[in-house]
Amino acid sequence: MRSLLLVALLALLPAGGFGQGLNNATLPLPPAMPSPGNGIPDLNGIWVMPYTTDLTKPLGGPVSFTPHGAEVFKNHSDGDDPHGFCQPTGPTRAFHQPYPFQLVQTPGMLIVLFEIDHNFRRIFTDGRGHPDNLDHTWYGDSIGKYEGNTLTVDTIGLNEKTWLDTAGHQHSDQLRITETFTKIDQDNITWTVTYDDPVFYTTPITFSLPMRRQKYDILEMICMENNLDIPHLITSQPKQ
Amino acid sequence: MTLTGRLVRMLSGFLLAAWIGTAAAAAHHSFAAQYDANKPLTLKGVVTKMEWMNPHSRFYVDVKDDAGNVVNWNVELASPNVLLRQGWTRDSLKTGDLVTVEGAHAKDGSNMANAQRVTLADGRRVFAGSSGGDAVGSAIRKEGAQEGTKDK
Repeated sequence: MRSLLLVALLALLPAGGFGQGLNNATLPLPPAMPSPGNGIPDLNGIWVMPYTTDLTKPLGGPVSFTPHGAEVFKNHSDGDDPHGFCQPTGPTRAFHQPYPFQLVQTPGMLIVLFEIDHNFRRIFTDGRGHPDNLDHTWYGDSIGKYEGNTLTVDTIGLNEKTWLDTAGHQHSDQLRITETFTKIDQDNITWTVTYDDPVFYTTPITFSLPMRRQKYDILEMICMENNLDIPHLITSQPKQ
Repeated sequence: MTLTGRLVRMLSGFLLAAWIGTAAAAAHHSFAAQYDANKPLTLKGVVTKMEWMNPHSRFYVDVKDDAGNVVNWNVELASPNVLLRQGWTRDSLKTGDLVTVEGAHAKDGSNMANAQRVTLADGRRVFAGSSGGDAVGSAIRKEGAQEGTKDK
């Protein structure tokens, strides 16, 4: 029976598998970047994480919604995704999209240059705290601290307009994000994130993804250049 | 139907579901927000225009319908950057090329399709870059061959 299944499977495969790459493109090299020194782990470079559309996959199970969070999740439509309309991703979702990003360490600040949407994020590492009377914004306010081979980042001051993933896990403006970037070796970092939002989730959501160094540069990606999808997205709102 | 026939049919359905189910319109939004995995289609026709643009590259193809009328379809690919990392260039498809598209139909019934594979004018059947997992995975697999050199 097993061999019969295998034969049937192979018979369905076209020559060359399900497809092939073209292999005609030339990709630019990443820029050389000096190490930060002073015992700080060198995070500089171009990185990607696995494309992760649903955070419950790396989480290994479902999230624990509050009644409000459950209601919002139940009523969402895939087409409501703010990024379908080229709205910003927020500080962390862009990490696990299928686009690389560059980490740029400067004295007192880590800058993240996201290829997706040609966007950026700043993480202050100069010892400052969060500002008083923080406004709620798309990327919030991020402060970080290096300890050993790990950078720990705390982010608050977020608005409620972004999704945490493509699957529609949403959040309130009470969201607090804690991230760690742990340098494993020259080409590998482990990123761990905790989403703590008591308005949407009864317990914080924590999962990890690997970051892998890339040998090509980031490129330009402008979401609104030709977004013809918008009229065709199936949203939870009636068409105008 | 014989046992073998049932197995082939069962596996065929499984593979099609797995293939289309992993498509994700290359991250811009959920595949299911616009396309129907239960509406696979094959389009054969002539390329009339290529748009090497974000958030999705697109090309337009004239296809004859069952009544013999020519219908222009809007075919969605991944973004230019994702395609580049899979080896595509803006010249991979040219106006006048005869191509075959395997993909999924738009949920709203418009003449739009999300391409999974494209058979080019020269007969090569290539990924269309619409599966995000493929995009990053391909980049990682190929990184050794893409250090600023032409990957032949």
